[in-house]
Amino acid sequence: MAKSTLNFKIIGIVLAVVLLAVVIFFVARPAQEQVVEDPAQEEPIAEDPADPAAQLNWDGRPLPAIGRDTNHGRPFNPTEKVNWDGRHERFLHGVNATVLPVVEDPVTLTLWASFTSPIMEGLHESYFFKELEARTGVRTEFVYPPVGEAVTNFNMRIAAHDLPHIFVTPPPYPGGEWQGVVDEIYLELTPYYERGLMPNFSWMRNNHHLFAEEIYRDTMDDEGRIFFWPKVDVVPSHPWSGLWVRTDWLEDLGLEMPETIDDWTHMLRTMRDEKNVAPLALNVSLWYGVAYNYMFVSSFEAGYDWINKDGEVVFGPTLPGYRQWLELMNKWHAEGLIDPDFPARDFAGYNAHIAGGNIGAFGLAYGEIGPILTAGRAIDPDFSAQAVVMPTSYAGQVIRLRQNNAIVRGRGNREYFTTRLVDDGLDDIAVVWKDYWFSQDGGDLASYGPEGVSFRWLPDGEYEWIFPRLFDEEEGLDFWTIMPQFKVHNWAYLRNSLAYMMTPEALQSIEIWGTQSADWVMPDHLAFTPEEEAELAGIMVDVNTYRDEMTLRFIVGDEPLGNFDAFVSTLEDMGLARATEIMNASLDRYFARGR
Amino acid sequence: MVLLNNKSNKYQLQATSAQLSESWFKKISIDWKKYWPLYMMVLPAVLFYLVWLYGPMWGSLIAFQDFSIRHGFLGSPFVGLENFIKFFESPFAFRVVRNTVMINFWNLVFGFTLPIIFALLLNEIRNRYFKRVVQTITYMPYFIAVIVVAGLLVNFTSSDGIFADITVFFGGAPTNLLARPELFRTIFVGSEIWQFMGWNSIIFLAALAAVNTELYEAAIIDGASKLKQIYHVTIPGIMPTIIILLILQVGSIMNLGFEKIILLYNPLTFETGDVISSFVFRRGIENAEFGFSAAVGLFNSAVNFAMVIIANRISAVLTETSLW
Amino acid sequence: MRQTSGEKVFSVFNYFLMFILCVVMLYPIWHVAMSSVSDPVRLFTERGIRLLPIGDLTLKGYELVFQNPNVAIGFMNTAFYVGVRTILSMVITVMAAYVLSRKGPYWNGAISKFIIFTMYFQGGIIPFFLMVRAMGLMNNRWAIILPVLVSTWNLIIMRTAFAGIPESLIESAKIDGASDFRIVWTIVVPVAQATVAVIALFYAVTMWNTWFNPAIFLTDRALWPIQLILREILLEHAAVTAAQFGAAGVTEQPMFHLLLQYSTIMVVTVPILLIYPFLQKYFISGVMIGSIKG
Repeated sequence: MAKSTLNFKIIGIVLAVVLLAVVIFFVARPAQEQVVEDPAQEEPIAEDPADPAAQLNWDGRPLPAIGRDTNHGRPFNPTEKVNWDGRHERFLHGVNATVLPVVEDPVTLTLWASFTSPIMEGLHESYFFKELEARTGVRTEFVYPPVGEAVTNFNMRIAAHDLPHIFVTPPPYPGGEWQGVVDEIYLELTPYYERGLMPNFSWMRNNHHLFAEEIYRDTMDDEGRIFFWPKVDVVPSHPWSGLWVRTDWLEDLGLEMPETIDDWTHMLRTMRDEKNVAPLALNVSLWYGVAYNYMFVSSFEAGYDWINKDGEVVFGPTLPGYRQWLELMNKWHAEGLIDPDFPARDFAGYNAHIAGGNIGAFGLAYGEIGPILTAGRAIDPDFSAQAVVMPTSYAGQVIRLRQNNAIVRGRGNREYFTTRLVDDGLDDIAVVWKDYWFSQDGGDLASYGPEGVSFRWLPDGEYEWIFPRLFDEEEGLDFWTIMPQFKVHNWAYLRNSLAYMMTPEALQSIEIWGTQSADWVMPDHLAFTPEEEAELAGIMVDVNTYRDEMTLRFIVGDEPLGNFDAFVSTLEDMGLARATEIMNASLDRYFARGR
Repeated sequence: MVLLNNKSNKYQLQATSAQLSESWFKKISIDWKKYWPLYMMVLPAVLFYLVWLYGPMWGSLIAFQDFSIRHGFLGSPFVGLENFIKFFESPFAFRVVRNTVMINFWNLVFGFTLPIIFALLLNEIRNRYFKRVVQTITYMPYFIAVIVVAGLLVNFTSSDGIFADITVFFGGAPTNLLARPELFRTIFVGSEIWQFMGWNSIIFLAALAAVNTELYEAAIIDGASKLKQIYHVTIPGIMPTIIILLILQVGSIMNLGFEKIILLYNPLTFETGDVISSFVFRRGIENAEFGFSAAVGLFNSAVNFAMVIIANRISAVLTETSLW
Repeated sequence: MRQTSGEKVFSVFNYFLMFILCVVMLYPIWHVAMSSVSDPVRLFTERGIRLLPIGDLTLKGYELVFQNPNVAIGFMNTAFYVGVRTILSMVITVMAAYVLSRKGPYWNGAISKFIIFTMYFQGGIIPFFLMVRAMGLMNNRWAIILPVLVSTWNLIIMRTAFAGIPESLIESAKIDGASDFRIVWTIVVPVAQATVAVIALFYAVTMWNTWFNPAIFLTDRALWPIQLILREILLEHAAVTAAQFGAAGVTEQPMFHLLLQYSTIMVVTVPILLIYPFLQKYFISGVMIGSIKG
């Protein structure tokens, strides 16, 4: 019929398709590489290099003599941790196996790091990096993602293959961290490790007097591959969050620090009656709440999420202890012992409520206690608080769950080398340079800053801060703000996690909470295959939503506790059995990592 | 009213194919000769859309891929409807879609009509100075960051907040309003109105200003009261604007940003407050599941588009005003 | 013209209603303004209705904002972006809206559909990012302006307004020999000035508020608009990170975050509030079509 008309339409459509194809081709051009086969099958377990003391340095230079100032003014001892400065035992955790300077002719490494500060233009101003450059001969250049847009910047760089030499604490790699290696973005470190270019790191993994086993396991994946630099808290601060009580109220009311659940009930009731408030500040699924702190749920030997019950992974909310915890919370809520606004409080509101003098007991991270004490005392000069351990629900109970930091900190604290180092021929140098951060000398520099500039060792074996700006009353800046000028915080190095100015309450809290064990807390460094990861994520999104919702409903009484069994079976219908299977498999593989 | 859509002439079906193609080609040439200045004038806009909106459009196909940002579009495998299935498999898929639609529906009923009524009322204010002051003040909330508005709201709805005080005054018990799922939509839509009514009324004020004053004069001469004037002159005068905006709003039925939702909801109000965007957000876009979020986006787009087509058709038939 | 008693009652009610609305709508900005000069420590704890600044008045929040050298640059950049973008966008949108509002051209329907389709189907951020890169616009001012030159929503509204202009006005101008181009600027825009002013306002305000595209595409701080500078200042002082790792706040420093939040909102909102009254006159008063004839 109307063939000629159709012809024009066909031509038009063809032209449009061609145009679209041209645009697609032009724009999507960067992606032309083949998908790389996962080399998992062929990779051997990372073998530890031979004793470094018997060899020459990696670049052929002779090793310095062992001694305090034998390594370009720095200490050198590749096999033994030594006390050069009369400092306390607990500050000694590594050897000094790096021959300085790392390079004779200066090179420059580009580091991608999220950084913003009201008093510094950039990290190049830091005394730490200046001293590091002076010692190692390696210059560092920094690129910063736009503030708050680290994830987008990271993804765009991957898409455009526009890489720095090192990613410092990047966002999660799409598809899992190992996928970064498979995609030839991240550089695998195992070959360098086996060639002996990481002697400090290796010593730490094998010889650390307290934590070698844990460090060994947590620095590699199930196949024994090393591909990230971790933050290792060799001077640990295990718990950073837990329960607190208003000690001035305890005094007023003639109460003791509560130790059992019944103590708590009694204390809260007394506070409610005498102080006319709902005394317990509770947050369930977000910060410092049950999900992070195991607040009271550990008293019933259950958890809000996965727990490692003597080697077996269990999802906390399916345990009978979870029901007992719900019953307790429900009872307390009904009696008016829990802040009635607790479901809707936002982060700032939660802190404000506590500082406002409305709360007698709360969950909190030790970092928040400073501002709350300051604000609280502005209203009530007697405001004081102290950390308290998790209560027991029966005599003789051993608590096994509390907030915990592993020695090797989690995924958000890693640094990754990129393949650009190989392209630029700087890979060996970068590995040796980064390994220096894991020596005693390098770790100290990162933890405290340059000696004599920011801190100094005292005759009694302790240290003190001497950075002048810290004591400038007029400026009134706090330690946190000034700190980037002389030390690093969330980077990968041998870290003293207590090397900060902390309120006495904070230091005390670490000690108090640390008296209870965290045996049942899931390890931070489980590894999953991309398929497992995707499957698990798919199941857990729904499980978590349902659990979050139902838990609150049980607590406030919108859902009768008789429905608990129905709740558990719904969770199971959502695929919990499969998720548990995946978790257990991963945990087994984790503990199978050995030496 | 204005007819905005072009329909081709239906009466040439009897012509032969040769005549048909000849006449079409001829029509095009005549059209071009007559209107080429207009086509030149619209060219920059067309180029803009071609480059910036059609150029990247291949990205919507990511919804059908297991997309790897490293390998890009050409290097990622196609997985058909897998991403969509992943979304709909969730027991909460229906709930979040329903919540999205319900909140947007109520926002349409109240958030769309109130600015119109407000504009009409404001238009009746005689005092020019008062009018301008009112107008300036009522659009200010638009500029307050969401996080501040949410903070205020969380504050007002708490058991010691102003709404609780009012409840107590009338003899009720003070509770936290954001903990009640049955109130979430009311609070959310209410806050949208509070923030946007003034700003949204601007376009209607402009439409009101465009109504020919001679028409009012004619109506007054005819003896029409204020109410009759509004009914016979004002409302018909701004009707095309209202209808077009209504169609556009209907076409946003699936669009609900997560920012404010996340700040106002909590697990107790998931039942009514968890929407598509917040659900997808909790899944962790940080995990960069590009294929999955593209699939959800494409699903939203498809529903929106379908709604717009329906609304457009209805409007074309009923009112002769339509989008295309 | 005399009002009926009914109309008088309505009028009183109307004024009263407007007054109540003003009070309710003014509260958020009032709250922000009062908070921005309040004592930061007490700001931390006190919630609730705020009619006056609490505690000692302090300008510390504004100090923290303005001591940043990038603030002045930020304002200048924003002025550039807003000015250039509004002008370019308006020219293109006005012309396109005029064309699409005419009944004659054969391709209008197709072009309209072509444009409206993009409101519903987009590529997403990755292809968009790659596009900007492919055009060589990384770290370039035009990366902020070019990709957002036309807003379909604005275009449609303007088209609707232009379609409502009496055909007779345009016919008579054509008879007088005016080109379409001339007609647009001498007849159409003045007659539809209310809508044109509003769309210009919309374009200007969206550009004023923009920070995401600059965040992704502009690495050089000298090119940043004020919204991004302020966002950075805010995030610099974020007290949240301090909390996680145990550093103690020995002074009020961590408290400034809230104060700063309020101060930055005021800094970014007040300029708009000052400019708005100048635009209002275009869409408050009515238009006498008759006066435009000839």
